[in-house]
Amino acid sequence: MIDQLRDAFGADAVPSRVTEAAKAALTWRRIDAELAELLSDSALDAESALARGASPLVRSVSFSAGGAIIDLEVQLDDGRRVLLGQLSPAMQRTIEIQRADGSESSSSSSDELGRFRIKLDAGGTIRLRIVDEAGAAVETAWIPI
Amino acid sequence: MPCELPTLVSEAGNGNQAAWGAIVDRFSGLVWSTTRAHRLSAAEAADAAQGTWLRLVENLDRIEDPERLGAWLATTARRECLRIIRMGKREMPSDEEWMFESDSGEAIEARLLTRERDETLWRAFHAIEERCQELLRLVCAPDAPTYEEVAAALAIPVGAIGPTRARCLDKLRRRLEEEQADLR
Repeated sequence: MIDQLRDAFGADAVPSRVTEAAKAALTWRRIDAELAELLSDSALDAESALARGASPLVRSVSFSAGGAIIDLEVQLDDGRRVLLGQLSPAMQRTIEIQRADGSESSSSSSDELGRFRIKLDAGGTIRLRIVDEAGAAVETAWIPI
Repeated sequence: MPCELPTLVSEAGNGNQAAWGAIVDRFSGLVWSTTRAHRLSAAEAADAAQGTWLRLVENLDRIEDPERLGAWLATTARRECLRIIRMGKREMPSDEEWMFESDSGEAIEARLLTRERDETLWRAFHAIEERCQELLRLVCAPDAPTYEEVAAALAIPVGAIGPTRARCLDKLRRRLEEEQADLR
């Protein structure tokens, strides 16, 4: 019976596009940037997630890099995504949204209070690249939004 | 390309695409089986798998025990699955949905129903408890993950896998006998 099962599951092979995408992922290796690690994600937090089917419209995600914290609120707006962010301590930075599927990134910047607001036309797997005026960069962990 | 994991991991960390490709080839079955054991649709499973590989790219220079990379990937894939499950009915990233002929797990399984034997097997498989389905999906995955990897994928103790596997196979066997009796 184990052989039968193995046979049957064998037919559910990894789609070749999935393997190709995995191989292409190495191009996202961090070269010149510090990693801002995921600190919390309400979509990973057991208490805030009751069950599949719960439909939280706002999700909050935090990252940390060195002494800085990046707070992000992801809002759904009819298929589009609105990212409301806060850099702490407050800093004016260029903020680029990179997409794992390689589609075009979008840019914005934070104000003198460290706040930023970015609208995206669609969800996907993204990360933020935050660059200061001297060119030093921080990149967040990837998140699906 | 040498195939020792510590070498592959450190080479991939230096940007060696061949080393990275070898890692992906070795573990893409495990990552995929883990996502499918969590009953994600094909599009969701693809997102969870890609999230897992991106996480590894992020952490290539920090993998403490490369020999246990399979378990690390299984744990990471499980977390990515839980995140996608908990994002629930939120509209999921699906830019790549076009790449699948169909979207749902059921549709994929329907394609597997090539033989009547399999059909009966699937019916019995879906009739047993979900924890058993998850465990068997991994334990009987085509590339035979280690118990350590299965334990990491499902967050259960390694020592529980043997007995649970026996119990689940027993349930499946009995269920299959009932299905076959119904057919007669």
